[in-house]
Amino acid sequence: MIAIKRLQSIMWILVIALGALAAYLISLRVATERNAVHETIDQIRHTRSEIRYLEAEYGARANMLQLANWNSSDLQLRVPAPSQYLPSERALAQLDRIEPAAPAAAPAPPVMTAMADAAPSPPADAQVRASDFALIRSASAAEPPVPARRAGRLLVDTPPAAPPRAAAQDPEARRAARLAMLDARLLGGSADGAAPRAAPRTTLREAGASRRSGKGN
Amino acid sequence: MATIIARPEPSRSSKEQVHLVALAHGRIMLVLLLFVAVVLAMAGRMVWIGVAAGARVERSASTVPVPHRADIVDRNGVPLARDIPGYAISVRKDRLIGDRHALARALSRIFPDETEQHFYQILATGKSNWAYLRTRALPREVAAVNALGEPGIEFPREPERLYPQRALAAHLIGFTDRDGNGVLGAERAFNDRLLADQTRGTPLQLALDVRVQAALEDELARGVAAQGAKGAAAVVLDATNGEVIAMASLPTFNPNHLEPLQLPDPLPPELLGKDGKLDPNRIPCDMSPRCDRVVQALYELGSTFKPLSIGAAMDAGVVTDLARTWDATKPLVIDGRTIHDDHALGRWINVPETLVHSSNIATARIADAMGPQPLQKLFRELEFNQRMSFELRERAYPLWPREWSRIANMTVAYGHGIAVTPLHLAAAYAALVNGGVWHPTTILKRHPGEQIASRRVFSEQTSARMRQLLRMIVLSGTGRSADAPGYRVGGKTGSAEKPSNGGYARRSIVATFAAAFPMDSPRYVVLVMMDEPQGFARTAAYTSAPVVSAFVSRAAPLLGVFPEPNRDIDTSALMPLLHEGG
Repeated sequence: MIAIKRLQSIMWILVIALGALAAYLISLRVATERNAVHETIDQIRHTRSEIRYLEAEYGARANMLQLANWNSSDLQLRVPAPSQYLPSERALAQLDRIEPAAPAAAPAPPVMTAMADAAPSPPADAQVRASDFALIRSASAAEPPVPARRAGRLLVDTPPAAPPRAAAQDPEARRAARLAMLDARLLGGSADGAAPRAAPRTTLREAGASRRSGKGN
Repeated sequence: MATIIARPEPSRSSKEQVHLVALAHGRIMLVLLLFVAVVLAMAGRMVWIGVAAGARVERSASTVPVPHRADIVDRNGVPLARDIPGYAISVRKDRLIGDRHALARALSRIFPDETEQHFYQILATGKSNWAYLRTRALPREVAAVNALGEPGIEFPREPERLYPQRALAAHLIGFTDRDGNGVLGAERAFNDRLLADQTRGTPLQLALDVRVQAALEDELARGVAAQGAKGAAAVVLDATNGEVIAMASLPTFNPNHLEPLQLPDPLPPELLGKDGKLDPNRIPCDMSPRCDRVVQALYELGSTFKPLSIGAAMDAGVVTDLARTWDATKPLVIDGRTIHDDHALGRWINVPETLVHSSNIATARIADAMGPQPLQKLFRELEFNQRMSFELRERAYPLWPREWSRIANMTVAYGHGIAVTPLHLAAAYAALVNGGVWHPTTILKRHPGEQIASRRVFSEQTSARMRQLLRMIVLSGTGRSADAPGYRVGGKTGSAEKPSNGGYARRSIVATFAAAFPMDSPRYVVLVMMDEPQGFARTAAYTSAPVVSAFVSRAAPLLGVFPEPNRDIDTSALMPLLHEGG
């Protein structure tokens, strides 16, 4: 009995030692994982440093002076003329390859002047320059026809009769609608009714059209 | 007789046995204690490793590399200056094994910009055993030198300051010395912030727009080349908050590869300091491309002062009626000095005509009627009497009249007898057109809602009137060549002869055009100055104003100002005044 009692204390010591050893192993494992994390972090940092280095290299190779040199020697790009800018989405929406009914008779848009200390005048978005039409005609000469581009404007001018939906999707029908619209314009009548109202539009067109409608123009 | 000695039998009493057991117990306990000590040591070590590792985690948890010196970026985040790990090439002379002449020859072939003699001096002479052969070496250069197979040559990696945009905005950004301390520009002004441990991880964001800067430098360089000017300066300010959007000074330099200054030999005495050595602060702008003419050079900026003076007269109540005429029939003689007009109209002219035709005589008469106090007060508020409130260290002290006499008051009104930096004038024009509020200029991007220490220097009515008048100068006056269709540019020309030997040199002209756009709601001020243009027509209308026009056409859309031919400021009420009697 005495021997068992003495062994019992030794057993306790062994248990504690084993427990400490287990704890140490766990700690060792944690430290290993932590080191792995550190290595990953170091790799990320190193990679980011390399990215910085490459960015610096690209930035240095494509600096503004170099771009200017390339432009003067090869690209020959020039500053856009004022007539190439459009004042608003409304002007953009009005741009298409179809001229207004009587462009020569349309008066030149007035210059809107304002005292600077007065409240800022509304942007001249109601004005559409004749040159815009010429510009877009030349710019879009090579593009395939998109008859639906007239839709936004026509929606505002007069409530058009809804054309058959099939006409909006069928190229032949769209071409026919477009011819009808041109005929109506040339004959002096309003072509609005022939507009393919439900024609597919681009996102920009929809945005422009909806805003213009909101203005109650 | 034989004697037998026998070993006595050890006594094995129970008492002795107890002693033996105690001894065994003691030894076992000793071994146990040793084990416990080892386990405790291991546990302690574990705890220590845990604590130290925890600290290490705190140090290295960030995955973002922190540069030795903070990056500098423009207002859109485009890098203007950043640290990269670069190569240097150094030599340990005692480890060289090859022939030094042959090595120097090979190095000069790799680096053609240096002579063989230069490398031989480094390799063969000098007290130190270690020396740089080259700093900022390219990787292919390092590979070429490494291929020489010389064990005495080393390739240490060093943090290197790179300016990706090269000479673009070099004066504003500045550069650092080999120790990594800022020497010029923003690198110098914000040296502590760029190096501090707490802030070097965050880029320093300037108000500069690199696209606008490129357009400005390009157009300015064209103008200088066309006119053969000695130098030029230009600055673009945000009129609403004083931000410096672009700032250019020509000639310029490449901060990545600094050339030594070309100074006369022997040095003239005016460049020497008290110790008899070269004083860098005394080097004039004409001798150093590192001089920023926008903030370091002083000029009499001539007629560009006239709108400021007439604005002061409006606020002082001297000019209440723009239709009132002033005598400009003949040159004005005051105290033996004659004030005359370059384009004399020879009649009485009103205020719009004074500005549109840039009459010195009428401006002098208005200043004389106003007296010295209002003009002095205005110019002090515009900081024409002190270095500007500005971050850059390189700022010149204006030349303020020693005595504000009657003739000084009259000449200062049209920009003679007082010398300021172009930045002084640009900030003053911003106040003139933005509603009358002077903002301190800054090279840092302002935060939305930031409190600015601004002050009112003109009334709103005066500012509104000056916007009309400046626009009229471009529509009908000396600034016609500055007009950019659709952008509503307004501004004033100024062509001043440079002081020389106590007088003025008639052929040496400083041509300035100070402009703002769009004049119906001014947002940006552009000032272009050319130093001694050499063309046939040297005035600002033919030299600086076309640069403004080209720049505005090119850069205004980048700044969010688009051409609108159908908008303009209303000058209809003032236009008839130009034609009275004219």
